[in-house]
Order: sequence, then C-alpha cells, then structure tokens
Amino acid sequence: MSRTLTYREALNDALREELDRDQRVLLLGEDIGAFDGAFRVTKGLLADYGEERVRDTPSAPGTIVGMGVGAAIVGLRPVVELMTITAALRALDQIAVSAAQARFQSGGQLSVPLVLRAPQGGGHQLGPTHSHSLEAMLLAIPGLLVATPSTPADAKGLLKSAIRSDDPVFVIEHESLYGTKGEIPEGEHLVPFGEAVVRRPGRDLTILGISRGALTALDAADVLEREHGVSAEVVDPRTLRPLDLPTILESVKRTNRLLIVEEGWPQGGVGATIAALVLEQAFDFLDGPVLRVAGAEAPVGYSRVLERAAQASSREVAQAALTALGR
Amino acid sequence: MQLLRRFDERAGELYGAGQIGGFLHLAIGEEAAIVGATRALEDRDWLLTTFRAHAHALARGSEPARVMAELFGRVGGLCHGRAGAMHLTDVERRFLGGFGMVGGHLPIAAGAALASTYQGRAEVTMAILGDGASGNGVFGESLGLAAKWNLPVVLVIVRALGGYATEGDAAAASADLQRQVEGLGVKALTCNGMDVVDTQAVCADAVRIARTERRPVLVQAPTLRAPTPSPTAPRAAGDREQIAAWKARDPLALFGDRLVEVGLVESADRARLQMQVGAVIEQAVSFAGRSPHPEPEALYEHVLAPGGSGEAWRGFDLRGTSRRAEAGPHPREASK
Repeated sequence: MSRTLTYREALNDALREELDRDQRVLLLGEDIGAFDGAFRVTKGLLADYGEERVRDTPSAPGTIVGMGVGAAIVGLRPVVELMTITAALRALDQIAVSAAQARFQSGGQLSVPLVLRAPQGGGHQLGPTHSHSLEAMLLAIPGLLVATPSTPADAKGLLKSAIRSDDPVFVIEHESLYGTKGEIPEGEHLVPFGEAVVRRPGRDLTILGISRGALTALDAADVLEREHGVSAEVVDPRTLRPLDLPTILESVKRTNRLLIVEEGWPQGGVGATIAALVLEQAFDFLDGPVLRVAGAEAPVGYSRVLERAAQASSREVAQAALTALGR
Repeated sequence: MQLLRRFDERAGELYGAGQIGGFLHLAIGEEAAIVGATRALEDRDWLLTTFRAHAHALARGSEPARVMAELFGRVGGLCHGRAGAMHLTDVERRFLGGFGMVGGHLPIAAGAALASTYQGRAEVTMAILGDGASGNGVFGESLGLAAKWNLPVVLVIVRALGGYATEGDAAAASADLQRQVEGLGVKALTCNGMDVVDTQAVCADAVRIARTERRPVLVQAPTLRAPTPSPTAPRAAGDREQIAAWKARDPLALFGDRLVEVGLVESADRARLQMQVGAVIEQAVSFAGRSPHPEPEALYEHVLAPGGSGEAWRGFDLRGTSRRAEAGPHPREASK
C-alpha cells in the first residue's frame, strides 16, 4: 500500500511522525511557524504542536544552528530549517566547527544529534544568492552526514533516519523538487543512510546523479534509449556521507563506463571526489575516462536563460553519455 | 585560586620547554573572576568558556592530572589529546568545553539553556567570555533570543584590562555594553573581577535571577591580567613598572592577606596550602609525562557516532589506494 504525496508533503509527514514519536524533537527556523515555512514544508505544524516545539527564530543562521548544537548536546533532537542553503554559509562555523567536531574534540564525551535542512538549487529565478548547490562544501566536513533526497519517498525516509541519527546531519532538499509527486509506502518508512539505489538498470554505462541530478540522469537515460538505443544505468547515492561506494563500483564494474551528474560547481565537486575514488578502486574495469556534467563555473544568474545555462540539462547529460561511449 | 595560579605558572614553564604545544592562554590575574563565577554554579548547571579553558576546568573541579595530560596531548587527557588547552571538555562536571572560535559558544550556551527549559529542569547555563566576543554578531543574537524565549543563561564577561586600557575607557565601554544588552531585555550586573568574594556574590545573584526569573543575565567582571608572555609572543612580558603595578593588585595575594587579616587562615596554613597545591601539580605533571601518546589510528575514533548510520564510512579511507585494503564491509552488511 502506498500514498501519493509531494516532496514537501513527504517532508512534512516525516516531521510530524518524528514529533509524535519523540518528545525530544523540536523545530527551529525562520518563518517555520506562523508562515508555514518559506517553502511550506512545516505547514500546520505550529497549530498542531505548539510554539514550544515549533519555534520561529530571527534571521540569524549562526545563532540558530549554534542553539541547535547546544540543545542537541544537552539532550534534545533539534531540526533546524535554513531558508536557503546559502544561509548555511553564515552558519558554517557552527556547522563545521561546533556540530561536526564536538564528538571528536571531546574524545567522545559529547554527541550532537542535530538535523539541518535547507533547499538548494535553482529553478525559480531567485538569482545568485538563493540558487546554488553547496553539497560539495558540506561533504568536505568530516563528522557531518549529508543526505540529498531526490524523490518524495527518500525525502521522507532520509529525514526520519536523520532525526534518529546520533551524528549531525545536513539534509539537502532541492528547491525545484518540492512540488514533485511520488509514491510513499504506508506505515513506518525509514531510508537507511549509506544505501544507494539503482533507479534504472542498464548495460552500456552508469550515470550517477546527485540530488536533482538523479532525475536529470533519468530523463537523459530515456533520451538515450529512445533516440540512440543506449541502455544507461542510473544510480542515485541518496546520501553522500556515508557514501555507498560498493554499489557504485559494482555498477561500474558491469557497465565499464561512468558519467556523474551534479548541479554544484565543478571545482572540488562531489563528482570530482567520486571520480577519484572510482579511478583508484576500479581503474581496471573502466573502458574510458570518467566524465562529469556539473553546474557551470559561474554564479547562477537571475534571467531564465542564464539560470538554465548554469544548470546541467538532460540534453547535455545525454550528449556526455554518447561521448563516454565514443559515439 | 592557588591551584589555578600554580598550575598556570608550571604550565607556562612546560610550554616554554616545548612539553605543551599550540597556544597556551594563561589566566594569571583572572583567578578571582574564574573561581568566583564558577563557584556561583550548582553541580547541575552547565558551563562553557573561552579558549582559556584549562583554568575553567580546574575551577569546575576537573582532575589536575587529566587536565595536564590533555595539555601534553596524551591519552590520559580529559579528551584523549584531541582538545588541548583551548577545547578541554569534562561532561561529568557539566563543563561543555572551551571554545577556540571567539564567541562561538554563546549560541551553544543559549541552546543548552533551551534544552534544560524544554525538559523542565531548573538548570542554568553559564558562558564565560572575553570582552572581544561581545563584538561578534552571535553575542547580541544569542542574548536577544534568550530574552525572547526566557532562557536561564548567565554570560560573564571577564574584561581583561591587562594594563593597556585606562580604567576610564574601560568604564565607558562597560556602560555601553550594559545599555546595549538592557535594550535586549537582559539584566546587567557588574562585579569586581579582582575580588573573588564580590565576583561570587554577584554571579550567585545572576544565577539566582536566571534560575528563578527565567531570563538571561550579563555580568561584567573587569580584571587586570598579569603582564605575562602571550602565546603568540612568548618572550614578551610587561615592563618592570607594569609588573609592579599588577603585583600590587594580584587577586590571589590580596585574598590571602585578607583571609589572614580576618583570622580565617594562619600564615603557616597559607604556606602549607601552597606546598599541598605544589605537590598536586607535580603529581599532575608526572601523570601527564607517563601517559602515552595516542596511536595514529585513534584519529578515526569519535569522528562519527559508534553504531550509527555513518559508522561503516569509517572503514573507507579517502586518502587513496594505499589504504584500499582497509575498506570496510558494505554499509548494508555493517548495519545488520
């Protein structure tokens, strides 16, 4: 049995279920209460759970993330919503230093079961401050788990797992996916961290898609099959730390070719890291270079044309796949 | 106070001798402020401090041997050699740590107070900070939100005058800060940070107000830090005049004299106490010296929660193929 929900409803479901399940869970964020959240993810939660548990905060990312860290250390399981991933830059000290290092620095005395949520990616012409994809920056921080759900079911299942995790987790949502619909299994639905999923099986090459890149990869795989008779396997890692490298390697060892799709900047990107890992660990299985289609090395522009030009399109991905296959 | 002073003097020597690495921020001259403030807390209360953390750990009751071993970077240290002097943590004593990033602990203190309040516990969280942290954005943000949410946080600003600012300037700055926080709805008090009795009395008042009225309180404790070498200029001490001026106001000596004057302590007891403290410190140095260095493999411990969803990731070393053989089980297998 399953239900059809949007990505934002799935996230709302996850928050409700965990608020019901565990009294230690509380939500902090700018406009998450009276306003239902900038992207309506927290719709109705203030009315149903009260202002003790659903707390509107000022626009002070460093302070609200820091308060989340303190509350987590002293026994709660806070979920902090940042209005956009760019706000995480204002809180990077608290994320990278306080949240991610407290356990290590204290020799295991402290634990920070904190969840941070924020949307990334463009799609609504929000210009250079609200459209970037920063998963590589967050992935660079040891001690921080990073989830990048691309479907409503994963959004729900990964957020629930994140809230139950004893490590700090950044759940990176995608701004353009909030309205997308998908099937959600009835009942308790948890997606474990560190389990990639093969979204579409194939023989000729592996396309690894990160965040919305997984959906771009699926579109490209359709084009490849329909127009070029190419059978592409699409893998979605779902979480970047922990990364399910064995599933990626297993796929590459079958298809012998790898193309990575991400919306973040190419320099020091997630694709660069995964390409290096695959080269180190499966070089002998590759029949060609690992290719990447990333976001452009430029800020995201406001104009619809410039915004599209900054993002990886399914057409570019299909083209890169053909290049990988030597066509 | 005696313990903090002798510990700092000995640690300063060991720092000069290369036994202690990194930055070592001494607290000589701040003993009255640190001891007075921390003694105002109950065992159930939480404490966070600056990078001058070793003195605060001692004041909160941490074992001197484990503090010294941490300064030595050894396994026997409170944090097994991961924290050093700046980041010492002792959760058993509800000491949540020294913070190396100036002001970084202020929102964490407010969050700790939020957790206590949310869970219906009457604990107070105290954060000790230097005056520099009050210029950081999180200072006003944390106090403002703590006032709005009725959180029992006490911030104690140990304002180190260090002989470099005139008293008049300091007084003006302190009046500005008081107006600033009162505008946020924060109660502001001032104590004499060179007097342990006054500091404890004022901080106890602050803790009581925070606990009973459920509101943040700021205490300003001006002190005169000794013109000792700084971690970034280890050989630069104050000139003779500065040292003499400081000695005339040494909070430890003055408090000792006062205890003798009022007849609470005999002169002989004072000497005996110094000897006892000296012995405790030599034991601490000996313990630290005998404690082993951590094994390099220990680096990966406590990066992620044991048994958590990220644990399998610890099996992967991302530094390349040389460590490939250590790649752990598939996360699916590991999570079973």
